Amino acid sequence: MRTNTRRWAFSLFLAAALTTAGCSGGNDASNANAKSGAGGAGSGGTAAAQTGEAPDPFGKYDPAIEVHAAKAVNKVWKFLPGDDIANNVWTREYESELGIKVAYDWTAEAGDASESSPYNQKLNVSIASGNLPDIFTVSPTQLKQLADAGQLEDLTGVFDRYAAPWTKELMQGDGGISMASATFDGKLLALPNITANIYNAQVLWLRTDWMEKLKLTPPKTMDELHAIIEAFTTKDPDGNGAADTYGIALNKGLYGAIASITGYMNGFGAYPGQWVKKADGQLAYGSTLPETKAALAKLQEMFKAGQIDREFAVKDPNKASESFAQNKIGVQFGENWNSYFPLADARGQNPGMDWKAYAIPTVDGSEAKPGVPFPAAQYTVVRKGFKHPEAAVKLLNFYQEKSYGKTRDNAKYRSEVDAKGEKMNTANFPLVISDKPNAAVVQDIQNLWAAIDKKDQSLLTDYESAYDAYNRYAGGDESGWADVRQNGPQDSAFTVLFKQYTDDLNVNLFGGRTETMAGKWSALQKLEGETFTKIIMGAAPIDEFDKFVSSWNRLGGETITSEINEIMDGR
Amino acid sequence: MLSGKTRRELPLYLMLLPGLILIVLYQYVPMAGIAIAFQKFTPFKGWFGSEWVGLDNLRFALALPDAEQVIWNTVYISAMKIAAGLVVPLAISLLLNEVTRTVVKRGVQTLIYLPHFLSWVILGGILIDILSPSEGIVNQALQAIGFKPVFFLGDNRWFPYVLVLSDVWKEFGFNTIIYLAALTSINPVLYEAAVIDGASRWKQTLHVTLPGMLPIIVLLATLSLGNVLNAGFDQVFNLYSPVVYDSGDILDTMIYRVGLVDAQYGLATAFGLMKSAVSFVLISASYWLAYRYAHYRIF
Repeated sequence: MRTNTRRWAFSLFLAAALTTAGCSGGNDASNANAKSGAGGAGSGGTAAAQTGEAPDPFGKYDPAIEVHAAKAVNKVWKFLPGDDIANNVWTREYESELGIKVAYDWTAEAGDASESSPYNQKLNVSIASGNLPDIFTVSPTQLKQLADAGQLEDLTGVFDRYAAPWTKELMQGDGGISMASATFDGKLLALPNITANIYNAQVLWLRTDWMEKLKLTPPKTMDELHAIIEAFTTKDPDGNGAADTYGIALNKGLYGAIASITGYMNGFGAYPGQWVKKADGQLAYGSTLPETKAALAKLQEMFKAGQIDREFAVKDPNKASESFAQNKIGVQFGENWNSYFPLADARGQNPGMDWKAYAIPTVDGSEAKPGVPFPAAQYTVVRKGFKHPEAAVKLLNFYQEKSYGKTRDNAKYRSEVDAKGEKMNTANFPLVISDKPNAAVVQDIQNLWAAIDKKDQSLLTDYESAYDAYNRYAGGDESGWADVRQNGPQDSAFTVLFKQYTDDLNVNLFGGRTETMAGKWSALQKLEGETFTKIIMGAAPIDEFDKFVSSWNRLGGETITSEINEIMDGR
Repeated sequence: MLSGKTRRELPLYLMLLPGLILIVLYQYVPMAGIAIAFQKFTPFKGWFGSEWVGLDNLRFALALPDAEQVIWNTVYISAMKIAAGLVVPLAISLLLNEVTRTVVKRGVQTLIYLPHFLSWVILGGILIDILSPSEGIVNQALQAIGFKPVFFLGDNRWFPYVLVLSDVWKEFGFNTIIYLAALTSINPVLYEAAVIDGASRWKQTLHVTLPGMLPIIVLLATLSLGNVLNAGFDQVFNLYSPVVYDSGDILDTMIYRVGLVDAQYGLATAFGLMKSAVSFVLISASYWLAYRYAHYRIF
C-alpha cells in the first residue's frame, strides 16, 4: 500500500511537472498575442488648445501635447535598463525640450521592411479600419493609398513655417527628388525618410601593385579596362610563372556588394535589377533592356578567354573573396567599403598587395552614372485632422539638429553605453527620422579632407575614426589602410563617389512591391539568374537573352511593369 | 467506483499523461497551421482573419513554370539517395562483419561515421574546393589518368550524382552502425549449424546473415520511402547555383525561395502539405507491402 501511494505521488509529480512546463510555453505565447493585440484604440489625441505661438522650429508646447504614434521596431534593439521604445533618451527629450509626449498606440516588428512585414500588415489593418495614429511611418505603396484616400494632413504650410533652416537643407540635399515623391498635386503629404544612396554606388577596385608591375594606367573606357583584364590574365602579374590568374572576379549571385556585375554593367549604361526610365518616359526593368545584353555578350567573351574564374558560378561572395587572398584576381566591382572586407584580409596575407578604387569606366570614356537605390524608402505622415501637424516637423527638426546639427551629441543621442559597456544604437528610437542626404555626406567628406589637410580636427562634422585612421596610416601604421582607401583624400573610393556626385546618379525609381510581384517575383529572379549565368558561361548563346525577355514578360513581368508605371504616374 | 484493475493501472496511465500532453501540444496542435495552406495568409490577420482561397495555393504552385522540373528533380535525386543509402551501408556492414581484428573494425567504423557530424555549410565549402575543375584534387587525379577536368558542381549532367555521392559518403557510416547492430542480434547457433552443413562464408551470408537482417532492412527501407520528396535542403542549398537549377532545384529550395524570400506563407504551406500527403501515402503503401511480403510490422 505504501509503495502504491509513493508511486501515485511520483507519477502525479511527474505529470504536474511536465504539464506545467508544457503549459508555460503556451501561456507565454498567448500573453504575447494579447499584448500585441492590445492597443490600436483611441487615436484622437488630447485636445491641448493650440497656442498661437510664433513659428519657432524648436518651440516648446506648454502645456505639453500628446501625440499618438505607431512605430516599426526590431526585437534585437537594446535599451538601457528600465528603458523601452516609449521611454528612452529621445522620448524624454521630446517631452522636456519640445513639450511633446509620444504615446505609442502600437508597435510591430519592422521585419524586412517589405509590404508583408508585420508593421506594414498591421498598418494596413489600421488603414482599412480608419483607425490611424497621429504620426506614423508608411511605405511608398501605403503613402499612395492614403494620399488617394485623402487621409493625410497637408504639410506644405507647416513645413515651410516650422522646418529649421538646417532641416530644409537636409531635406533638399538629394536634389529634391525625395520631397517630390512625397508631394501629390502640389501638396506635401509626407516627410520622406532620406538616406544617402551615394554610398551604394559601385566603384572599380584595381590591384595597383600589379598595374605598376605591368606598366598599366587606370582605365577611362571599357576597352581600356578589358585590356587590363586581359593583361592580368595572360601576363602573369603575380610573377609565379604559372597562368593561374583571372582578370575579373564575379560571384554566383551576380549582383551584391562584392565581385558584382552591377558596376561592370553600369559602364555599359545597363542597370540590371533596377527600374529605369526609358526614352518614352515609361519605367522598365533594367535587366531586360538591350544594354544588359551588350554587357552580357562581353562577359561571355571574357569567360571564353579565361579571364573570369571558370568556377565563379558556384562561389558566393565570401568564397569568391578567397581568390583575392590567393593572388588570382586583379579587378573587381564592388562598394566603397570593400577595402575593409575582403581586401584588407587579402592584403594582410599578402604584403605588398595594394588596391585602389577608380570610377567605373564607360564605353565612350564619359563619366559613368552608377545605379543607386531610391533615397527614400519610407515616409512619415500625419493623420488628417490631427491638431498639431507641425509637431511632426518639430520632431524632425529635433532629430536632425541633435544628430547632424551644431548641437549634435553622438554619445547621447546616437549610441548610449550601458553599465556593462555594451553599446546601444539609440539612433533607432526617434519617432521622426530622416538621415543625411548625399549633399550632407559629401560635405562631411570634404570636411574630413580639409581637417586632414589642415591638421585641424575641429573641422570634422563626422568621420572622426577615419581621421584617426588616416593619421595612423600616415605615421606608418598599416592598420589604417582600409580606412584610407575608403575615405582618404587621395586614391580612395570616396574621391570617386565625390566626383560622381557632381554628375547625376542613376536612381532606381521603384523600390516597393506590387500585387503581382508577391507571387511571381522569385520565379522571375530565378529565370534571370539562370539565364545570365548560362550566357556568361557560354552554356547558352547570347540570343538566349531575347528569349529571356519574352519569357520574363509572359511570366508576370509585363503585368508588374504596368502596375509599377501606374503607381509612378500618381507621383 | 473504479474496478480493481483500473485502479492498479491508473498510476501507469498517469505517467503516460505528460508524454501524451506534450505530443498533443507540440505535434497535433501545430497541425492547425495546415489551415494556412488554404488561405491567402497574412501573419498579422492570423488564421481567422486571412482570406480563404481553397485550393488556389496548390493550383498556383503547380502552375509555376518550373514545378514539373522541380518535382522530377526531387524524386530523381531522392530515389537515388534512398537506393544508395540502403545498399552501400548494407554492403559495408557485411564486409566489416568479416573483419576479425577489432582495432581495424572499430577504426573503420569510427572513421566512416565522422562525416555525419559535419554540417553541409562546411562540407559545401570543402566540396567546392575538392571538386574544383582547375585545382581540386579530384580533377587533378582525373587529369593524371588522361581525362578532361569536369565541372562537377556547375554541370547539369553531373550535379545530381554529386549530390547523391556526397550524401552517401556523409551518411553511410551512420546506417552502417544500425546494420552492424542488427548483425549482432543473429543467433550464433545458426552459423554453427551452417558450418556443420558445410556452408562457405558466402553461403552463410546469403542464407543466415541476410535473412536475419531482413526485418531491419525492411524497416529502414519503409521509413526512407517517406523521404522520397525530401531531397535534402541543406545539401542542395549549399551546393547549387543558377547554372544547375535545371538539374538541382528541388521542392524544398523552391519553397524556400517562394515562401521565405518572397513571404508567400500560404503557398509554402501548400507545398509542404502536398509533400506530407505524398509521404503519407508512400509510407502506408510500403508498410502494407512490408507486411504482405516480409510479414514485418513496425506498429
